Amino acid sequence: MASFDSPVAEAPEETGGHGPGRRLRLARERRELAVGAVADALHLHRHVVVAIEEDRYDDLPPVTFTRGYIRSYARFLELPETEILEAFDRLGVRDASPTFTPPGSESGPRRGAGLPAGTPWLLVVLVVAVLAVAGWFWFNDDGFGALIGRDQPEVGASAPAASGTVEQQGANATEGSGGAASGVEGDAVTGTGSSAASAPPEDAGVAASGEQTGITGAGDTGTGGAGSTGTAPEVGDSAAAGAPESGTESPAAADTGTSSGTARGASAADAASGVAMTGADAAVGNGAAGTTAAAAGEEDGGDGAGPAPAGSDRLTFEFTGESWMEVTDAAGDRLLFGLVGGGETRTVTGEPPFEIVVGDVSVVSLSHDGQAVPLADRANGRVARFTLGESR
Amino acid sequence: MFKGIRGLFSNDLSIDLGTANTLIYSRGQGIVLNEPSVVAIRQDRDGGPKHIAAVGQEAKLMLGRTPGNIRAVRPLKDGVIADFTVTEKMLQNFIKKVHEARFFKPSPRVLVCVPCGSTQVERRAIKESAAGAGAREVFLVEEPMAAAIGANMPVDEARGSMVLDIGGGTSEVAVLSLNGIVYSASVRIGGDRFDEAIINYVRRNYGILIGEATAERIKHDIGTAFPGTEVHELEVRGRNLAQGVPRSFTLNSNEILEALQEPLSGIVGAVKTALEQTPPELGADVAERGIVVTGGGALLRNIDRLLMEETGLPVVIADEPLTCVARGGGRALELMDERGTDLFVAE
Repeated sequence: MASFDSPVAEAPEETGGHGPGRRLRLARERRELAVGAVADALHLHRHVVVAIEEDRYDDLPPVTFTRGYIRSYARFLELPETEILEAFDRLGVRDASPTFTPPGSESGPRRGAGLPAGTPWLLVVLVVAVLAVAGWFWFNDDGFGALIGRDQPEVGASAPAASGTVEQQGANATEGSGGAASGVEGDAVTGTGSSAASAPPEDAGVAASGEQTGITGAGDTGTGGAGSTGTAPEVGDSAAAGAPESGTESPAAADTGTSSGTARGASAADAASGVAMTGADAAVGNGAAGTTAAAAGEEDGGDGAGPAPAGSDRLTFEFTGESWMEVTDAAGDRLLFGLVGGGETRTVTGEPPFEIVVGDVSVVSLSHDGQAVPLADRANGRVARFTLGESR
Repeated sequence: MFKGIRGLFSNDLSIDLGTANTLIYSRGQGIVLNEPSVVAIRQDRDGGPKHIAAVGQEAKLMLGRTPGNIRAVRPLKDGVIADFTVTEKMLQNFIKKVHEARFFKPSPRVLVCVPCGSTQVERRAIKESAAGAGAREVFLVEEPMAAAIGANMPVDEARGSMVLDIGGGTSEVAVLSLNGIVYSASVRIGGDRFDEAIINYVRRNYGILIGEATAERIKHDIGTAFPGTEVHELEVRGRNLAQGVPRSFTLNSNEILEALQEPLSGIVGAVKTALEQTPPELGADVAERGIVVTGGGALLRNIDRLLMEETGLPVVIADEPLTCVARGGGRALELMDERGTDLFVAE
């Protein structure tokens, strides 16, 4: 056959080509078979057989077919088809045009295509992080309130309630952080408390008290005093007036009470409703001070924790764990309502009798005007619902 | 919505839901599952609840070897669902298996390859079965198209390409051009019929009954479709029908060739019919390049020689013929994403 004798047929060998063509051709020649005989046996055109032997794959159909032809050829010659195909694969023959690209077809948007590897887990981590943060704020009511500024209106709303005010001392008062204390009638609010005590409108003076934060700043800086004083300018005397009690409670309170009192806390003292409670977070010191300052402002010239105004009783709740609390006085004012965390102390002042609900008596201790009130006797299970005090 | 979220954590799957084997191709991972389509069902008392005892390879080992309370069944017959509930459970099990390491319950997009001869009812059954198994979206593609894509045939060209897919239950022959099927036919002849033919041959000529598993082993080891230069032999065991006791005997490849004549002629007839029905231009293209054979039947020794001799055309066995359909389905899924159209999708 002329094609076998042509120099082209030897080209791969001369150039060191590693295609399967030469091996197939040599095997065919050893068997003394003509190209035509192979073509007939495999039902291929002769030019296809020649092209395979010459490793000219550009002239052949797509790789799928070419591999099949080579496999059939190798099997026909009883050569190991795996080796022959490996030799073909080493040539790296590819189809001239990639398959599945019909002319005119445009790439549309990928539908439902998978995200890059790892993206789903990144999303999960982000979602979990967001949920965790939201959860933290949710369960830490104060923090949430501080974040969204919700405490302010609440406190403001409670301000008009004639007698009862609540001042909560945050156990963790941190220095300088400040929500705003609410001043009654909207005036003079210091930048210290995140929630504030309120005073009756008529007396105007209210000491702002920080819940967790602002109090401290108040104590140190005097802003708390400013707040309280701002609300009751006319009373101005007596910064130190109320000092005795506060002083007894905490020296720091006394100090700050003074400062704030100088500012004009006295009027607040007259204000029947003022309540100060100091949590006295000693570690922070100024938190207590701030609170006390507020108290001082309210109660007679700096009496941080002065006696309850006439006609009012003072209830002090101390919490060693989390408990639901609800306290309503005779006037129907809700003095305390909500979940209170462990380590906190709440003092409320109002007109007896009080309707009290304690969610978990095991973690709450109550004193009524300084007298301890056993809660266990009044509890039904963990919850106590009872009325305390007599009407006057 | 939850399916959509879970879908983020699932891989798109192409499933070759075959009569004999189910193959799953996962996008970006290749063939991730190749298991027999067999389910073993346990029912401890009459009328009591049924439980899945085993699926896939484990269940196949039980075929013909189960006690009274376990039944090993093949839920697909002739390429279509014979038992809807069991198929759904099997698919569920397979989909879960390929997502084993995932925290979330998988909800993948699934492409299922269906015989081109299947009816609308049969296709709907397959679709609902896949949906019931947890797929959030189900596409159907005809098997010859998937096989051709998996074999890397140039189905997009304006040129005829013929593919013959010999599966477990059916054999599909089709002529493709420009991403579409010009002609297709399906005959309910496949590997199972080969097994049956071998069982019948042995019973008729030796008076011995052999099981399906044995027949399949005979087919794999010494089965041939065209006389070769060598004759292979295999010793097998079966129950002598006259004596009722097990006996061993020896079969050779020429006997199996004789046994397979009937089903093979059915396949050859289908190919010849396809060539007759193919438009002349496309027929000329097929004559030039040849026929590509895929599916498990392509592994039958000398099947290409038989087809070559019968049709006078070149015949090519695809690379990895067993997985062509599943791989082609996966590629089709990718192409559908790239194009944004329901390319190849059958209804």
